[in-house]
Amino acid sequence: MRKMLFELNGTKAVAEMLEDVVPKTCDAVWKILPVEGMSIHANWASREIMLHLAGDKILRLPAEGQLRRTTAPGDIVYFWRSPQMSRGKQLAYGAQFQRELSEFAIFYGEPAGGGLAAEDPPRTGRDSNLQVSTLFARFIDAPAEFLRKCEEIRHRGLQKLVVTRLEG
Amino acid sequence: MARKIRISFPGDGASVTADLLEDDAPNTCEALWGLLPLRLKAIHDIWSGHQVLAHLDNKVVLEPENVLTYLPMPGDIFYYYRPAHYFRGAPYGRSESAEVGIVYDRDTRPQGPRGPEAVNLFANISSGRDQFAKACEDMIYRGQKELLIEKVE
Repeated sequence: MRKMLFELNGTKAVAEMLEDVVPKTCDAVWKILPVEGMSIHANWASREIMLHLAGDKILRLPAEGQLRRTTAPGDIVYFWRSPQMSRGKQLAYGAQFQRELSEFAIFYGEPAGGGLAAEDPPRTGRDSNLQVSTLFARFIDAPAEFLRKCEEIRHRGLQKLVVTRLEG
Repeated sequence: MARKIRISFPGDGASVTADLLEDDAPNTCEALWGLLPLRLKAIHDIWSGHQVLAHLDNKVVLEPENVLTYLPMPGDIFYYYRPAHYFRGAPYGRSESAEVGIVYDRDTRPQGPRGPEAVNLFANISSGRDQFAKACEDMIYRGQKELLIEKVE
């Protein structure tokens, strides 16, 4: 299985792609690596940080795999939301994210309900194909220090996150 | 005439005035009024949408009151308490927590891992919400901020 390296504020974690479950999503993600940006903490989806995909790294992928409503700590999800789903503007997002969202959603801790609000069908339009949420990787080595740095984003604000291929 | 409180982010120069809902939540209003002024660390919620929280001393344990509201409006201010081990898992589930929550925009529903939580709605912002809401949303990007709650007399 292909692996990805996540680097956040001097700490590292390794994830394994779920190629046997969602091969097309994994291929598409692999092709855009490396990606980097300022990661932001979720405000609906529990203990989750997000990395917005920008510029030529933006992915617009169809749904793949099982329909999923909840998440577990260590899950890494590709998330896309149609522009018409959003209301208003997110202050610190780049202009391209003020309507459309294309991102990695990284569930770093427990409880990682992740779905009770974020996947609420009436609110998200998920059942209208206006949103894609595909679990495509899971952490296989995420030290406590890395998870603590994820949590710190809630307390200290945005932090740089770099995601690269882990080869060899 | 309802008693009023002022809630401010001193670092941002943003503040609002809120009316206490004394008819609907008399005990909560009285208890919170008696604690003022309060200088607290506010943090953005991660479950509920457009909502910030400030943790009170955990000794501030109030009975449920006016708790029909789990679909608050922008500008609503509430008190929430959970005992230790109410949820599973660290760091949030095991710890006791008494909080004041401020809803600054739509699409918000106070909730935790098990779903929506009913809260004691005890005040509503009556002026200054727009600038204050920007200071609240800014916490997603910049982290915690100092929050001041005072009596308006």
